[in-house]
Order: sequence, then C-alpha cells, then structure tokens
Amino acid sequence: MNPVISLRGLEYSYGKPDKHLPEPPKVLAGIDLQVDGAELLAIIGATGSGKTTLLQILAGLLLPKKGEARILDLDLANPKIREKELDAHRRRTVIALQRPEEMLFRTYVGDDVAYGPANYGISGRALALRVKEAMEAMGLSYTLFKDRRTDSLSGGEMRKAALAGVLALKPEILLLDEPSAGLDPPSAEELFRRIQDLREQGVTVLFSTHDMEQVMLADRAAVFHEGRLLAVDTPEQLFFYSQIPEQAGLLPPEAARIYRQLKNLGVDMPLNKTPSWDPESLANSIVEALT
Amino acid sequence: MRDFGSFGGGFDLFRRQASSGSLGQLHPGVKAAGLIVGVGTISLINSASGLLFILCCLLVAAGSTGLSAPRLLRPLLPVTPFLVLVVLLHGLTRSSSPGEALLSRGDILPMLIMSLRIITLMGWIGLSSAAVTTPEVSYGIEALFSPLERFGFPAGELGLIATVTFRFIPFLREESERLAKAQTARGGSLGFRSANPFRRMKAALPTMVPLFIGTLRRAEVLAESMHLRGYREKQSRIRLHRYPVKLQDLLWSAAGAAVLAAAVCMQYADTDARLVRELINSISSFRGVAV
Amino acid sequence: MIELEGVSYTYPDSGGPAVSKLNLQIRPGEVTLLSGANGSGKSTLTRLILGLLEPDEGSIQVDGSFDSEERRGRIGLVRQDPRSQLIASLVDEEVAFGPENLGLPRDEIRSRVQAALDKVGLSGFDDRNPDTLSAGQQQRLAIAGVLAMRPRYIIFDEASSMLDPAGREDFYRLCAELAASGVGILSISHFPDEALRADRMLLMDRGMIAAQGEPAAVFRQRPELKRPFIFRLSEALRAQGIALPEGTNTLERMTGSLERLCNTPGRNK
Repeated sequence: MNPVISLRGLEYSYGKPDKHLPEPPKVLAGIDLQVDGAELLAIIGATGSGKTTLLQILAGLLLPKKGEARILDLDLANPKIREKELDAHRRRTVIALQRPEEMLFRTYVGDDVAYGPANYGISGRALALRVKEAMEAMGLSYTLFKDRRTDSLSGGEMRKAALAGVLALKPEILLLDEPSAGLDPPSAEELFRRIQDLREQGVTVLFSTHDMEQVMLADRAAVFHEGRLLAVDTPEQLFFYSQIPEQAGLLPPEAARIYRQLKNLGVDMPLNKTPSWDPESLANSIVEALT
Repeated sequence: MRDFGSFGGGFDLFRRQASSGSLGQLHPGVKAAGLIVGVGTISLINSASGLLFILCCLLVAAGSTGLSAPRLLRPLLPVTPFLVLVVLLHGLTRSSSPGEALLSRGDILPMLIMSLRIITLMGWIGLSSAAVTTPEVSYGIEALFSPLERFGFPAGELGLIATVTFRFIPFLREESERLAKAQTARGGSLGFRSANPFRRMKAALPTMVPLFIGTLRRAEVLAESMHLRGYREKQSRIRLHRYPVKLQDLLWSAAGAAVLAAAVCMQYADTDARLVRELINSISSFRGVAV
Repeated sequence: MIELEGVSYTYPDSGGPAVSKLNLQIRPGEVTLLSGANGSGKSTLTRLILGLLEPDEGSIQVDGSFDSEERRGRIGLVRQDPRSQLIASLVDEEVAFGPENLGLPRDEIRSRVQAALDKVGLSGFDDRNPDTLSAGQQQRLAIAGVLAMRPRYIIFDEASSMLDPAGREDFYRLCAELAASGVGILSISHFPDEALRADRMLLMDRGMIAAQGEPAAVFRQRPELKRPFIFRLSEALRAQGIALPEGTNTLERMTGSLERLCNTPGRNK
C-alpha cells in the first residue's frame, strides 16, 4: 500500500547560516518515516524533541532543509517547489496548532469556521454545509452555536470551534499538536472519540501528546528524542517490550511499568494474552500469574 | 520561498556581547543618558562635517572596546534597503520649482547629511546595543530620572515599563508568528499574495485582532500577578542590583559630551560651507595648474 | 488555616451563582487537590481566596484574619503559563521583584533570592535570561518568585498542565517538599495521578463542593470520576482477594507490595 507520507533523511534547523554560525543547531535530523492512509499515528517525545517542528513541516509551514518529504505525491523538500503547489498541499494537509482557541478571530463562531473553506473558494450553500458538518463533527450544534459570539464560549467550546475550523477544510491528512492539552479528562476523551471517528472516515491523523493513555489508542507511535526518530512501532511493542520510551525521557504508562517490573521479578505473566493497559485485566493477569 | 523559520528577523538589540570591554562596564545611567542624548543630537544636527566627526569618534570608541564596524552595524542591517529608499526620496522631493532638474547640485549636500545621519544613528544605537543589556536599560532609565522623583516624576515606574516592554517583545513576536501560521494553515496566505494592496491588508487583519486581544489579556494577567506579588504604585523600592559610579563613568561622559558639543559647534561655525569652498578652491587651483 | 464558611458569589450579568455555600479548609503542611470540570467554579474560588473578589455572602479567613489585603500577603499564586507571570529579563531580578515590593533591605532581598532559587533547584542561574530556560525551569522560576515572598499558602492554578510528564514529576516532588516545610498548598489540577499524592481532595461541581476528604475516599464516593490507574489496579486486585496494604497508591508502593507477594513462600515459580 502506498504510504501517504514518506520522509527520508529529513532535516530542519532554524536560522540562516552565516559566518558566525556556520552550522545552526539541527532541530530535526535524519528522519525516516512512512505513514499509511487512514492511520492514527501518535508523535511522542519530551518537550523540545522536535514534535511541533515535524508537524509544521508536514503542514507546509516550514520547509525542510535537507532530505525528502513526499506527502500525497508532493515533495515538500524540493527546492524548486512553487507557491501554488504549497497552497494546494495545505488544502489537503491541515494542522491545528497548540491552543487553537487562542487564534479565533471572527466575531461569530460560524464565520470563523467558514474562514478556511471560504479561502479556497467555497461559498453559498456549499459553504454553510461544510460549516455545519465540521461543527457537528466536533459536537457543536450548528443551529445553536453558529451565531454565538466566539468570546462567549467556554474554554472547551472554543477549542471545539477552533478544531471545527480546521475540519471544515476536509483534509486528507489531519495534524494535531497536543489537541487535548489543558482539557479536563471527560473533554479529552470526547475529543479522542471524535478523532477516531475521523479515522474511520479515512482521514490520516497524526497527533502529538504527552498523555501515554492517548498513545494507546493509536495504531503506531513515533518516538522522538533530541531531533531524532528513535523508533516507530505499535504502542504495545514500544511500552511493554522495549526500553525506547525511557531512552527518550518518557515515562511509559503505569501498566507497562508494572508489567515489566513483574517480569523482572521472574513472574510468568500469561503469554497467550497480549498485555493490556486496562487495570482490571492487568489485575487478572497478575492474580493468574501469582497462583 | 516563504518559510516561517526566520520570522521576525531576530531581535538583536540590547544583548550585550562578551567583547564590549570598558564601555560595557559603565554605569547604566550613563549608558542610558548617552543613548538618549546621542540619538537626540544626531537627529537634530544639520552639519555633514559634524556628523562625520561623530561617526569617526564612534568608530574609534567601538574599536577601543573591541568592536569592529561590521559587527556594530549588523543588528540594523535588515532596515538598510528601506533607509536607502528614504534618502533617495528625500533628495528627489526637495526640488522646489518645476523648472529645476529632479536632482540638482543643491540636493547633494542634504542627501549626504541625511545618509550620514542615518549611518551615524545606526552606529550609535549599534554601539549602545552592544554595550547594554536589557535589564540595564530599565535600570538606567530609572537611575537617570530618579533625581526628578522628588518632583513627582515616576522614575521607578518608567524603569518598570521598560522592563515589561522588553518582556513583551518576544511574546509579540511569537504570538504573531503563531497567528500567521494558523491563518496560513487555513488558506489565509492566499490573501497575502494578492496584487491588490487592500486585499493584502485585509488578509493581515485576522492576525491583528487576536494579537491585540492576546496582548491585552496577557497584560492583565501580568498586572494581576504583579499586584499579588506586592507591587503598589508610588512606592520607592530598593532594588537588588546597585551600580556605583566610577571614574571611568565620568571620563566617558565627558568625552561623549565633548564629541557631541564639537559637532554642534561645527554646525554653527558653518564648517560645511567652509569645507566645500576649500574643496572648490583646491579643485580649481589644481585645474589651473594642469592647464 | 484558610477557612471558607458559607461563601457564595455571583458574577454581575450572569445567570446564576458561580459558587454557592462553600465550606472548606486548607491547612498548612498539607497538599489539597482541587478538581472539577471546567466551569465548576475553581477559578472563582481562587479569586475569592486571594481577595480579588468579595463574597456576596459568607466569610473567608486566613490564619484568623478576614482582611483581604492581609490575606493576599500570605498567599502566593502560581499560574498555568509560567511566561505570563515573568516580569524581568534576569532570573535574580525576577525573584527579587516580590521582596523589592515589600521594601526589604538589600541584604535581605539577596538572601531571600538565593534561598528561593536553591529551593527550586535553580541556584547559579542568577544572571540568565528567563527566555533561555526550558518551560519546566520557567515554571520553577515563577515558583521561586512566589517563594521569595515567604507565603504561608500557595495556590497552584493548573501549574503543571503545560509541563511534560517528567516536568510534572519534579513539580509534584517540589509540592511535597514545600508542604513538608509547613506551607499549605492548594493545587488545582485535572491529572488523576496527582490526586494520589495529595493529602486531601476537594471536588467541585457546578459551584458547589461535591465531595471532600482523603483522595481514596473521594474516588470511592464518586465512581464517575476518572480514577488514577494505580487506584483502579489496587481495587481490582483487592476484589480478587489479594491483600494489599492500606495506602498502596503510588507506583513504587504497588511494585513494592507486588514484589513482596512474589517472594512469599508457597508460590510456584
């Protein structure tokens, strides 16, 4: 199956080289990554490991300095890339930055959500339909919220409105930078249910997060450390069977830590079951192993 | 190709470099006074020879503290094309009567003065910037105006305003970058490249509103934090850092004052006119000899 | 002790009370966790305690004083975004800001700055520019700025939510140390695992205190709350008959208990 994202040897650094700083520090180096269509990929790593930079490169906001970055048949790293190609790219690959609710600017919610598709020439009834679908995908009733003032919304509602503005572009690839940061647990869970719905609809979703439980929901996780990609694998493989998250300065979910601790103590955890992070089934496994 | 990687150009003013030698050791009040008086004088003087004199003394002073001319002027480089344009326009628009040529001999001296003024200003600010750190600017302003406090002049507040302003500059830069990226991600950059200047301005508007609101909100949060940390207006505060006035402060102040005073004298002594006459005489006598 | 009795407050032009009939205490030397959905009244409560709002009814006292100005002097606030609280361009100036405002003599200011920086693990950072610090370090700097005021109580308003998990661990450790040295800490947070490190927990719902007490008790009382993993695990293990000691609510204690269980004789290896 053809990957929708294919990165080879991707490199990025900020600033222009000059005679005082011939080699600006690399924020990303040697990144090789392939992502399939409709995959849900988690991007994890300590703060400063390059997650945000990667997402912004994929979105076409930053251009790679070296390497290859093929996204939906367009190589973003091509030095001869044209503005028009970038515009077309950004229509299909859309990013929601951190704390998107801080960037709402239209007075009314409906207008703000419409901003994106309107920029690409959608208008009239088609535009209204897009706005409606996007808002409902985020759980905001179109009729109730479209004429609400953006500054009258609660924090959680504002975030939903901001994300609806991104969804209204109907991207093929959706990039989310810490989408649930600052949300209370129920809102975060609701958000991830909707993200999974999008994935069911065929959208490829990449999201960065510090919450290891969210990582468990992903198909695979990409572990970043100091600008390098240490590994891409299923969450189970990474957390239960490897030390890679620790190398990246990350704390695996408690289930994984307990599981490994028990294995170190020589406890035979049942082999036929894949380890689960659900505490109740972990308890069952522990009880089984101890008796 | 437009990439957000070097947004804002890098605010390099007032970051003291290691090699600022004896100038860097001066009392911040002296530095602040030097900056203000120097900028004022250079802006008002109308004598090419005066400006040239100041410029030469500047370069000597810079050299003596280990700063070469290029290093001095580097922070102000981004503005250069704009300034060249200003000088040119100045010369072109000076002609008073319609019969005169667009650029006549009478325009040369004012254009020269303007160029010298700009270069000298850049040099003076560059030198100050190399010798002063941001906290010293605030302290310097406070120290400078503190004798006026007995008349009710809020020197302490002024210093604090400077401090907080410096704190806000990185915030403004980052916020506008974030907003610009968010707009671009939703197709907003299309307006930025329109041929119609009104369309371009209209495209920039979405970033203004959230920036303004964000800044106000941030200022409010900061004011509240300051209040909770005990800040009350109109109280004298003993500051942590203290700078004793040393002999070199007096020497450099005297030297600086002398240089500026000499330049002013040159203006009143009409040195320019004299030099030009001398120049014309020597050219014609030279010609006379050759013939 | 910070004590609220029957406190209610309604914002002008709003439909109903933001908080009503609150009764609660925050004791020095304890870490109290305040949890609740967004909009449940947590920030209103904070503003009331700090004296930024006056209650419509009820009373708030701090160490016996009802005066809001005095209250503010004893309570420090650390917010979510460290950068929004920073004022100066030098670390030591930043921490000195509070003591300077108190009109203290220079030596006193200097020693408080040193002590505060040591306490948060930023000694030696005196002449650094706060912009060059990491988010975790900036948060610690903000905390140092508050510590230099020698508050009796500190309110952390979601102060750890912008940190990565490693940064949060450092933060929890610092809270525990501060409480151990006698400061009363009110920490507003969503993170369930923070609950297990707190001495007491307050749950707010629609402006009222829905539950308060020891975290384990609150979780048992309110099954709909998102419970920390370790808590669920210990409950599940106990349900299966495994005897876990009371208070097995951190990862270390859990693994320790499990280790002991593994090493008891009579188990096939």
